[in-house]
Amino acid sequence: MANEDLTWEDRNQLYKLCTIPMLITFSIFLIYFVYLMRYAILQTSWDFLTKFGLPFAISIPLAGIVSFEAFYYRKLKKPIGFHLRRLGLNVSLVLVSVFSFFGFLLLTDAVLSPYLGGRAILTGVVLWTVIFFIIVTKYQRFLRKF
Amino acid sequence: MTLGEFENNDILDLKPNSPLALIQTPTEIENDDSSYKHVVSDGLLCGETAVASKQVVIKVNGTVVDMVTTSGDGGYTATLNLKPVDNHATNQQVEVDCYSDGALNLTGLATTPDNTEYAICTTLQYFPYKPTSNTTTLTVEPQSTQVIRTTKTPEQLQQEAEDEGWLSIWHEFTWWYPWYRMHVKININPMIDVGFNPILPFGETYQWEGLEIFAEVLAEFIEELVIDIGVLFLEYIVAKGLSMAPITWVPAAIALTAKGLTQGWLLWNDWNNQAKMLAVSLVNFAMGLIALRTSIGVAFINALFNIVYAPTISALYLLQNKLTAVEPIQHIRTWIDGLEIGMDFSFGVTALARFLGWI
Repeated sequence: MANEDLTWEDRNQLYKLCTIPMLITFSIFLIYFVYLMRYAILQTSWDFLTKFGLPFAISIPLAGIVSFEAFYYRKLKKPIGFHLRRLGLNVSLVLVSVFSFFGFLLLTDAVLSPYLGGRAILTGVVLWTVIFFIIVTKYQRFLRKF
Repeated sequence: MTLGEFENNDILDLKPNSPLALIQTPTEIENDDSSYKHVVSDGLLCGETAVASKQVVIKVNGTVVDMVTTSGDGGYTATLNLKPVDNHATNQQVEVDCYSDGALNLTGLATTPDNTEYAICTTLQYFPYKPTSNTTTLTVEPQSTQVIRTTKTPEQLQQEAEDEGWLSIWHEFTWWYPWYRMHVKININPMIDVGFNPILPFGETYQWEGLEIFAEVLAEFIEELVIDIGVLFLEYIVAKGLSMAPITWVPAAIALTAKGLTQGWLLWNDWNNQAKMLAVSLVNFAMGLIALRTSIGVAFINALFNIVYAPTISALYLLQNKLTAVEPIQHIRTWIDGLEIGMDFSFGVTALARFLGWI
């Protein structure tokens, strides 16, 4: 999976460029959020999750992933299949992460909120992030063997 | 005015019919070290009686600069702007004069054997009070261009507070969930009690009385810091463990998105709480500054020190201590900084706009 044809500086430069479309996407979602709040559309946590949370969580990393592949393709002109394969893998990672994130939050909220109250969500976020990175790290090492 | 008639060989005996002595209390001159303004305060007494409604003339180096009137208790205050000359330490003579408003010539007369009156002495009688003067010389030093305030370190503040008895530290162990907290209690009206674990960023408790907006700000800070420290350490783990393999930035972006989503959730949850919106706004600006550079964020906290009153200082000091935990790993953050800073400031602007009623 290592991009040996891209130098570290090139890759870092592309990462920095990717933050621009991610920030634009984020700004659009922020405006959308203000719209939802203005018209009192987000009444419950479920509303927040389905009408804002999930689209937000998926769109921003996707904006980064798609723009990275676009910049990468523009720089090195590799076959489209190569980029589509990478894109597919990263999109899968995003979807698995996002759904596991929300699932974990719901579980944490149900189990921990009687003890931690509003802090249960925050605790769940941190715990999920730690577990997520451990899994990704081990998965990455597993992939390197092949 | 004839005081008396002289007979030959009589001894003239002048007896005053009003007090002559007029005493000024020592002139006090106070100076604020950050400016050239000097406050002159004094009092006019006759014996032990205050002299009210008397005009006092203030001169600097022989030139009249101000005239004030004594109040009912005989006191007066004047503010002088004394500056050094040519940026060198300059001696300035401050003279305070109170002139009597009535002076009479008194003549002692005697009568010659043929009943002719002749003056044998004259004198001035001040009515009702004699004039009085008080002079002080002081040296005015040139001020530096920067205002220098004497500051105390947080450790000194804490020691002072403990010595005065309004700061105390106590320890709490809970059985469920098993946890240890160190409590810092500040007990000047209002009362603040913050309990936190010195090592792990979970399970903080706070009790507040009367600090409405800064209670909100501090609670928001601690919550956001928990999230931020979590993300920062995760990025550290990723950078160390995966050596920036291509898939690494994706988990980092996902983690940051999760953080942004949580910030959005907090914003949604408190959308109608105006105090909370201001707190969220301040916190997001501060967190954005911290993401730029920890020292800027700390400076922002320091600026807050200057606008809050004493009981909040120690609470903010605790927060500042927490911020220093971020610094050692900040140097490994790279491209994701831009995204995080942008998100923090955007949330801050949105919350501020909500607080101001614009959205």
